Amino acid sequence: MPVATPQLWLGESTVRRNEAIAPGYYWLQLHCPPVAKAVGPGQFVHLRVSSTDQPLLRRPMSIAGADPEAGTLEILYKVVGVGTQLLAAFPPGARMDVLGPLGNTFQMFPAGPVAVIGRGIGLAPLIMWALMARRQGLETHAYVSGRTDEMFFGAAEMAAAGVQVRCGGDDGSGVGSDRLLGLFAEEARCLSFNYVATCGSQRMGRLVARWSAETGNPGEIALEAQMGCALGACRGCVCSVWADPDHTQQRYALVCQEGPVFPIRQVVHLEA
Amino acid sequence: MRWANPITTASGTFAGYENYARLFPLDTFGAITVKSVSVEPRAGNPPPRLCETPAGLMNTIGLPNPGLAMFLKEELPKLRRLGNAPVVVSISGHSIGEYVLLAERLSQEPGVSALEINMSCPNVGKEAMEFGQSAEGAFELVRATRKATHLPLLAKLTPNVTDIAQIARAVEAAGADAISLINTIVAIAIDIHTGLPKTGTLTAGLSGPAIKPIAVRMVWQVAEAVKVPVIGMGGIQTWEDVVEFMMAGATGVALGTSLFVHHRGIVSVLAGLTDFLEKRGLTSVRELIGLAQRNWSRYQPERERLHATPAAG
Repeated sequence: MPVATPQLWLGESTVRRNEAIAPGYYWLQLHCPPVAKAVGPGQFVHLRVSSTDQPLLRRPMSIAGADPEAGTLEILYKVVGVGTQLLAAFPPGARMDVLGPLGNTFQMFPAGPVAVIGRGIGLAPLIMWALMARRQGLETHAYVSGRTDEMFFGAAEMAAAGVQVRCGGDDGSGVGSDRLLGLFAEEARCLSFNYVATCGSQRMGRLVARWSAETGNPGEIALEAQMGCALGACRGCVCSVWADPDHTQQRYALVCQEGPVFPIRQVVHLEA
Repeated sequence: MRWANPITTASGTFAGYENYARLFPLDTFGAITVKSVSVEPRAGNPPPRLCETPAGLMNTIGLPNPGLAMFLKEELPKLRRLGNAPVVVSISGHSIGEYVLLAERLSQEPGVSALEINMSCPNVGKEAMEFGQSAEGAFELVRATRKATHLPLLAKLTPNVTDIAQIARAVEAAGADAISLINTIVAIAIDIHTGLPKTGTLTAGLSGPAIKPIAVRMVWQVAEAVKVPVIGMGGIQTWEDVVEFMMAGATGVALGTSLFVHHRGIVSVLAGLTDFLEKRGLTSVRELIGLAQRNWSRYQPERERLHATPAAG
């Protein structure tokens, strides 16, 4: 179970880009060298989106990419409320207070072949992981789902890096989102994935859990949670996880400390 | 109790401190007040435990903690390794007997500087807050705990009462060395799309800037009613807020919800305070304690005299 990185940074970053890439979805690039050099895939940052006390809390955002040399971070987000609405209004050049990197990472890196399967903004941490896996020389597969082909976030970038990408939209684009799930299930077996990471869809979570249970190979899922401090002090961001392999007991786990990445079998329960 | 400065942490907000210690030395605080310890481990309430509100935060964390045995074995040594600031341990129980047990045991630990009786958490059913909602209950609890410890004893009061000064007088009479207030205000938020409360429990406690005027009012009322020091909290974010609470009668203050937003806020708050004292030519923060209360008692009679209603006819 990978542990959080030892570096922790709190300070101002500079917005480089902040653009809508699909209706309601934005890509944010921050110049923040201390975090860019330390962050791993699966981790997140806690952003101050208001300079007043309304809204009060920071907003936690998954990291979709990091360039340690350029000192930049990539964040993919969806406007869902007052906080993200404010976030979307930050222009290039604006300063933004950042706390990070936070949480744990996906496994880095089991032997290939490996796969990621995700949907919507859940794709963010998976994109970062898949690109890093490719740089390690691993055979990497990506299954990308979304409402339309505008939402195949990261697909082009991953394909360019040599990730074997499959896309499926609810509107039938690509192989269609339902067929995509079937393809994953088939290929996970016949290609013998050693590890799968997922984020962003309960259906995908169940598929990965089933695959992991049947093959005995590890799967991990990144969760999101509403957060207070994001540093483990407030105890506000708990999720319920299974405490034992037989799923007889549950316990609370802090998404900001023990997560956001969890073993799939701790999170997803499969009906017999 | 000797604090290097008058600022501590608000108990409920400080259950994990290692990460904060990576951002600044914990000794930056005058004292560290940690999350309530109960006899048995507690898991806490089901999520959602947080709900953001205008300039505020509702929480229903539910006092999760590893229990007394694990606190002594792991948490207290961890705190001692992280710094030398006095450690105030908050205690919470289902019964007076449990508070007494906690007080007795914790008093034996050299790492514990003081105890804070949690008689105000609104998120644990009929415990904690229920003790703090009547003068009789508050008196009995503090009296029994007082007998169980030689350590400085703080009583943390709930604002969910009719007359906070009455409760304060009761805990002072029972032997509390200091009074800390306010804890959170009981609140409900409803999600209009699901038609259900937004939090895992029906009610949750409101904190943050939205409650500050209520907290200042209660600090004022309590400081007027008792002689023991008052530790004020409720929506403090800036050094100006600290000055406000002290002028209202607080000897010390706590940062709580603001720790979640301004993680290193203690540093700028202390700097701002120091600056303010210099500019005003004050030698110590102590000169601020109750200043507004003294001003008011001086000016208010004069104002009333000038605006006296003329006799009819």
